[in-house]
Amino acid sequence: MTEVKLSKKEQYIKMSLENIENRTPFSEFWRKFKKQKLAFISFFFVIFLIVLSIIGPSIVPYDITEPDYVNVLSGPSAEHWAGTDAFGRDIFSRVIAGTQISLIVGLSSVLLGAVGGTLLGLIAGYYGKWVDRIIMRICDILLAFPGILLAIGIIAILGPGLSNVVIAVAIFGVPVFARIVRSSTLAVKSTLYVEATTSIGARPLRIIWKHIFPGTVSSIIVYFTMRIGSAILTAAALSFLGLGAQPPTPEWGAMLSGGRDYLNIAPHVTLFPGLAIFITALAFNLLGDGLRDALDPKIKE
Amino acid sequence: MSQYLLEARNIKMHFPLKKGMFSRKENFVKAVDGVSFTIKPGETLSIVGESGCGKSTTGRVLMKLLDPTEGRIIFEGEDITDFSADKIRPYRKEFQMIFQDPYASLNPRLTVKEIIEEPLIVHNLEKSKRQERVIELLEVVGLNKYHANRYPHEFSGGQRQRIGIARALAVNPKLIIADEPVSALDVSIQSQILNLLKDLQEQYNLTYLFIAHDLSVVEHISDRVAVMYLGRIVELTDRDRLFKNPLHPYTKALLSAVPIPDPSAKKNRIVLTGDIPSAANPPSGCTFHTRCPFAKDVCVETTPEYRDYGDNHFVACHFAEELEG
Amino acid sequence: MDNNLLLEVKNLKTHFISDSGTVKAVDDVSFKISKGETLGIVGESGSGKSVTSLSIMGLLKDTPGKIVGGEILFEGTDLVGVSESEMRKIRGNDIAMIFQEPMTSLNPVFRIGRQIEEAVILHTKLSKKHARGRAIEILTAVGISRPAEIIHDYPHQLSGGMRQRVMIAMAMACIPKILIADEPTTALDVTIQAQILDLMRNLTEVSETAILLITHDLGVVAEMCDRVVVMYGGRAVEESDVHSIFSNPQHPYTQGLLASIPKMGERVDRLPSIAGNVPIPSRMPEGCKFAPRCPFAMDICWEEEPLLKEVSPNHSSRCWLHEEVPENESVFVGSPKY
Repeated sequence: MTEVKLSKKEQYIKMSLENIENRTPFSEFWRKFKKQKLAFISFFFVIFLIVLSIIGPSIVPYDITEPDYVNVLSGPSAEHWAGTDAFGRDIFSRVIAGTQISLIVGLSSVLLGAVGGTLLGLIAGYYGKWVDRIIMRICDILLAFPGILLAIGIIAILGPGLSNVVIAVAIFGVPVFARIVRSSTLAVKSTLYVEATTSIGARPLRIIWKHIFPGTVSSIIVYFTMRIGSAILTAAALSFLGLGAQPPTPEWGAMLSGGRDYLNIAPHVTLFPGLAIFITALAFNLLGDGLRDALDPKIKE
Repeated sequence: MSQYLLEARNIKMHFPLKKGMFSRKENFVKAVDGVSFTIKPGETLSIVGESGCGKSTTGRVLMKLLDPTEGRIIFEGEDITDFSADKIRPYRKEFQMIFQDPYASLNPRLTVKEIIEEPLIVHNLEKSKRQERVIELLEVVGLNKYHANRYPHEFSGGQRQRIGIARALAVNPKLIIADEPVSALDVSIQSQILNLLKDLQEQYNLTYLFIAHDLSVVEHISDRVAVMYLGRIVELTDRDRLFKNPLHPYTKALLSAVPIPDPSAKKNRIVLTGDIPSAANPPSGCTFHTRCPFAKDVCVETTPEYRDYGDNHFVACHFAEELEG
Repeated sequence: MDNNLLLEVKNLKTHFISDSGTVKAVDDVSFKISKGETLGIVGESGSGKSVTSLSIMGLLKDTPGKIVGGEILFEGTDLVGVSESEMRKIRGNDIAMIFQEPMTSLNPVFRIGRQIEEAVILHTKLSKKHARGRAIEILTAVGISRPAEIIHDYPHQLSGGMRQRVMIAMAMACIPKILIADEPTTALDVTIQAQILDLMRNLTEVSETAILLITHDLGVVAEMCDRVVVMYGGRAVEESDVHSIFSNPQHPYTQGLLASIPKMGERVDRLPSIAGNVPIPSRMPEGCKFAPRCPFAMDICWEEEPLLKEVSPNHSSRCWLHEEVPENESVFVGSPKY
């Protein structure tokens, strides 16, 4: 009898000693993120794209550059699932091979832009005053240009080519990231725990790196994801204009451009790369939306 | 060497008020407007006052989190007012702060261990000793080593305040500035934290600057008390003298306004009329004259002198002597 | 006596149901309020005191909370299950409420005057022209010195004390029978608190309005209340008139709470304190909710929850110490003192 009685007390004590929710910030995020159905699907689709971009070029059924003049502009069939283009190349193979290019261009340009923008945003937000004013005015100037025009201008200076597309897209990502990071820096900087850290005697670099930067990461991740979609779109647009990837590179935008003349007789030449761009951009945007809902502490279930 | 641990001499903190684009005259919020006091090693000085009286700002100025508009801060005989951020850094070991809000003052992304360890890292304690020190500190404040790897959100308000106290104690400071350390806590937890603060003071010979609005808490913990109103100290003296024989009419009103947890207690309440004026546009003369039941013409015109009425009983009131008793 | 009975809450149970389980925010709370009486509900965070008031006002709609048992009898009619439109009539006309932060219940984009007028028109059928005059009258009654100017102000232009006066003005506009005040002075400074408490007392005296005062401040309770319900962990643990609560507390929690607050004029080196932490609503012990922190906890306290029992006339307490306990248990005779 006594044993049973004591066990209830012990149970309670045991319960209070255990981790109350056993939730790390990450597990909390994951729990919320899993509830966003569309974003969760997009997440797996993005992983699928990444895998495809790595193994894609080696599993494609046809050579992606070798012309095949027997099968020019043939429609989708059992041999060529997505048909062939003006040179008789298999469009399905080229779309798959193009994944790598699009992802690399999208990721690296946004990454460059994010790194630059984050640094500038942290510096502007933390130090304020004239540093802030100078950085933000430059960002305002950059943001006043229409994005694609700015990119065309940069490429006009640097010359066409994929690596220059990356630089161009990165440059106009910088002010956008700078703004976002600056505003979350200002918010985190005014928190009591940053004040507490200052009062301990921590150096600015430590405060920025250990306290402020982690506080801005969630908005960076969200925006990073969303920007990839639009970076892929911009890169495709530049290639479409002939400023980016040069033929015969299987870049989606360049493929669209190549199919432009046959839009009436062979719409499939533009349809499939177009679909690839659309679905990829959509997946990144949905993922970004879901991440925002999961990371934003203001949004409660 | 000075006999005082900390001296505040005529501290002023004026914040510029941004007016319209074309207004030439700059206005200031006089959050702190000439505050002077001294703290001896081992004592507890409290600053009491209502919201907006400048008590928290005073604490932040003394912590060197804000640069005062005027005045000197003397710590252990050394004038640290104009020290740069780099020069003050080693001194920060000597004075630490406990904050009012135990929810906001701990970084939610760090574990308890990382939070308490931070001052140790900043002040260069060897890595091998840190772990041990963190556990020691947790035990000192009534937590245990099982709490080290948890995140702040897993703790109750009282436990979080203990974590905040452990962080403040980490580098063995001499002075702790406690800004309303119990006012965000539940009643049954407040006394735990007050007792802890008292024990720690005895154990480590700490000096406290205790900032609070709750007079009964202040009476319990302080050796001396300063009462602030609109950026100025209106009365400063020993705890006993202040609570038994307050001279300033504001102190009297403040003391009488505290609800007493005894339904049969007799109440002789001085109910002040009106609101606390804005620090951006304080009244002329004695800033309390708009609410003072004894105000005369002289109070509107001239600022009363802040002086000693015997036995270190400082009051700023034209009629302090007449009003006595 | 019974003619004066206004509100009777019987075994109220309000639970919050979510994916992660049921939280018994309020579990078996009963009390009565008579005309002109002031009843205080004291408790700490998570004690269920605010949920009790929201349950009475029928304001649980936007929360996961649900009244799962008990009755709320207002002048004989049960408010549990009354339609929303009926409830709206009762709110404002018969039962009014003021909150801790008046800013949340005032609309920031409308002038003060307009908001009071709307309340007046809604409840009294006065014309728009007369409503303005009435608004100024009401503001004068709550001690606002320049009411004709104040009505043109927006809520953010007023100080906290002024806003609380405006809230009281609106609540009292239609002379309610009960005023529910949820921590009405917690956000205010002491000198302003004294003003507001005075105001509440004076206004309700004239109209014989009963007050249900929800607070954590025992000083405010001592000053304002006739009767007191002490809540802990969603339960009413003690109920009595205000004098017996302070002079002869029966429940160990009440005793501990009273002992732990620093009292003016009393010099002690250490304050007696209640050990442990305020319990988390989702992790309550099975037996008495106070057992983990109680210095007198016995085995039975962990096993089974005690009932609220009358220990002397009009004084009840929920504790095993008041029961006959088997002889092998350690028993405190009389009321244990800290």
